[in-house]
Amino acid sequence: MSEFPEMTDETTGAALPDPGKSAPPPVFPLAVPWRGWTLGRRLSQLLFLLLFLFFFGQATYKGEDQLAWPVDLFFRFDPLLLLEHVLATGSIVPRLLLSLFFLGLTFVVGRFFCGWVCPLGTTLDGCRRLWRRADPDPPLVFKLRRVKYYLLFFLMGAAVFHINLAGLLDPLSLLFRTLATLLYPALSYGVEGVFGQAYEWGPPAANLSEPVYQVLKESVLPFRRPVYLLPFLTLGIFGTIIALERLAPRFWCRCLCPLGALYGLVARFAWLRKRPVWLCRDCGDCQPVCKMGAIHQEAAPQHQTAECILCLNCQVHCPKDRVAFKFGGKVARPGLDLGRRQVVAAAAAGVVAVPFLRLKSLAWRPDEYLLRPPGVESEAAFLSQCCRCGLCFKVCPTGGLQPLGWEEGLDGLYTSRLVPRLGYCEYNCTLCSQVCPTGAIPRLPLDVKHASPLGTAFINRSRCIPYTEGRDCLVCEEHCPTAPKAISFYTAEVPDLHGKKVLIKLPVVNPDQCIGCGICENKCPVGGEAAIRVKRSLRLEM
Amino acid sequence: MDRREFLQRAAALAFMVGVGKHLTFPPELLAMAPEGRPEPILAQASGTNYAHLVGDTIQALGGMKKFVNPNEVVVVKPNMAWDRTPELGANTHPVVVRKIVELCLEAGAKKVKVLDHTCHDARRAYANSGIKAAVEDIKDPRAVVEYVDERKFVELNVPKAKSLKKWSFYKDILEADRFINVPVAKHHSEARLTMAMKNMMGAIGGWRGRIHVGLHQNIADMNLLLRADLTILDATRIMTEGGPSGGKPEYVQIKNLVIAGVDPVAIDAYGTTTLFGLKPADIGYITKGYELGLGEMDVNKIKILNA
Repeated sequence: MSEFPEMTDETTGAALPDPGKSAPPPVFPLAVPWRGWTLGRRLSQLLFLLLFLFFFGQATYKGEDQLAWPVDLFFRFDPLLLLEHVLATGSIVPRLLLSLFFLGLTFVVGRFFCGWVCPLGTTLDGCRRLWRRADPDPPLVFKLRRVKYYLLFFLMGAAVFHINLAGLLDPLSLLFRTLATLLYPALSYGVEGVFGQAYEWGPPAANLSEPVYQVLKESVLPFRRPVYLLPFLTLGIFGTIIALERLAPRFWCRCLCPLGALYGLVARFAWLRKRPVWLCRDCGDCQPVCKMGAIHQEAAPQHQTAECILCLNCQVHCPKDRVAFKFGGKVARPGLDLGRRQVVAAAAAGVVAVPFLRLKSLAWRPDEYLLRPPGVESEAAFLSQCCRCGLCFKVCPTGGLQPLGWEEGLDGLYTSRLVPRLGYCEYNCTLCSQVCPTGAIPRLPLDVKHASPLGTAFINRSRCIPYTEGRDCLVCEEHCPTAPKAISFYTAEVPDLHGKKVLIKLPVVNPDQCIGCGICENKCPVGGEAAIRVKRSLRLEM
Repeated sequence: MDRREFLQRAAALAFMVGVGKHLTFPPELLAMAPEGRPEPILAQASGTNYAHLVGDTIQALGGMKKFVNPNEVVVVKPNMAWDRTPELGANTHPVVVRKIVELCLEAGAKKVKVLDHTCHDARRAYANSGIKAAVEDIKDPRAVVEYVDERKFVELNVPKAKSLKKWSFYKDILEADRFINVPVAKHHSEARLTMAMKNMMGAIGGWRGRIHVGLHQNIADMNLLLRADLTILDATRIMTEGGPSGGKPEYVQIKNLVIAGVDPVAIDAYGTTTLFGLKPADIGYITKGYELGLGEMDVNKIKILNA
């Protein structure tokens, strides 16, 4: 069969000198067919997942104003975020340049990130064990592989017009914010519930459970029980990605992940390649063990470095010990599942989508109560930078930073907002700006942060207790952190609930002093909508 | 042996061994931390060594052994509600708290817990008030700084309360053998001043903002349940405006004073006059506390021991 022209050369796994050429390309026997490689790969996956979780755990207030660990390290190594940031803002965040190292490494060895590092990939590998289906991959999966490239080019097309949606699909952002807003709160709720029950029962159950609980509280449980908005959407997205594992292993990585697509584009030229490059005519046993379908009769009988994530299962499972990964080689590389037309069409779709995505934000100003994290000056700039990773949600000591829903359209989904009723902006805290990987929340010295308002508090005099009931309150004034206080009071006669005039202290806001931290709204004793709320207007905004 | 009996015996013992100064202490002190109205006897000391001030006032009241027996669990409740550094005067001075904890340990306490239900994030308030570090620096495993555990708030009826008939209170404080209240003297916008009685806001749970509607009666009511065995008012520096959170050094006046006693109303009344130049009757919760029989608000009836 002419389909397999170089088979005799390559099946032995050794580079045979080509008599037709004087200087054969160098082939290093670095990758010996050693079965320990898959063990090493699993260890690496586990290690990076644990590191990811460790940084997740460290992204919290630990008694120091500066975080001890670079908890955004994974995101700094994410070339998709860098690419999108550059396209959307035209500027470079120096710390994201670390991702060029991974990109360079991909040129050498291929999509190692997906197979050895990516914590979402590891999560999928782990979940598949519970969810396994032995059937061969359906042909549809091979057709859908190109979708990830479409998504990537779509994102890039939109980014040129300042819409940066990378964070919605970036695997690191997706996993981190799912952990932060869904899995970790659920876990802590469950654990606290179990130990809380034992505590209620009292001795002897509590005697056994409390020491364990204290250890957990010190180590993995959150200081305060986290509550986040959008749990069902987050669960739906994450659950779907897990459920797709049943269709085919690593369905997300094969067909949807735009970071995988970016690495795939580079890995197509990777120096390290599987030998034999062609599917052996007499065997083909590596097809079902390949998680990615990187070598498969269905798609192409040639090993595809753009799909291969170097899991090395083929090497371990090869019954004839032919498989090895080696540098160099002259075998022609297979084309991508992608034509020029599709690239152009996908990028154009991204561009065309821009006005649709922006319709809402163009049509009217942002919601009056949409507050962005401290230091954010412009809504548009923030939207083009926020990578929706959820690091700021996790690190916010009061739990005030929350994912935004559909209020501002798809453009704003999962970007960070302050919801004062859930948590206020702690006056002397700058943690969110320290963890933000893209600088969407700028790093400001504390005194500059103190002078950067998030909004301005307004008193609703038809809800405020002293105004409406003629009774004492001033909780807002008491908590106002600025000096002098942005909330002061004057004494006046007000009719009380019985219509009798009483002298009472009435709070008023001095907008020039107010920094919009929202502690007043958070602590306001009026139920439901607070009687004092922070609005984004009166802020210096073009 | 109940508390009263113990105090009597301790005092008798002190009398017998004839410890100089203690021979002369007023017999009213034998009725410390009573069920009913406590005796309005306060000790005050002035100076710049704040640890000495604490030691001197407690010595004047008969020494910490009068208040804390060996093997007792003590809760020390400073005001450390705010993410503010010590010089801003929003929290009790760390040196004062540390000395009190040390005295409790010397008296043989089994465990000394330092805690407060904060307004700002507890981790930030504990750290930046300097109190956590100061107490942990004693390096005695019996002295612990604990964060409030939400599970330990228990709902209780408050007998005799006029407004706060039911609320949630912190179990560890109610169950402790001894409870020592260590407030700081501050201006407070709504309550006007905050000292001993108002500091109990950090010993309760629930939606505390709601307490501020009818604040004065509520403060007096919560003090019906939350009775400190000893109150030590930190007036080493006082906040005169911008309270209770303050935030500017200009709001703070140095007074170099510590006042101690068992009568929270007397401490508040005396502090109101001496520190802030106001009348006790100007502060609603002092009057309400007096009406509930929590203590003495007439400054002329308060006996001051200068240590």
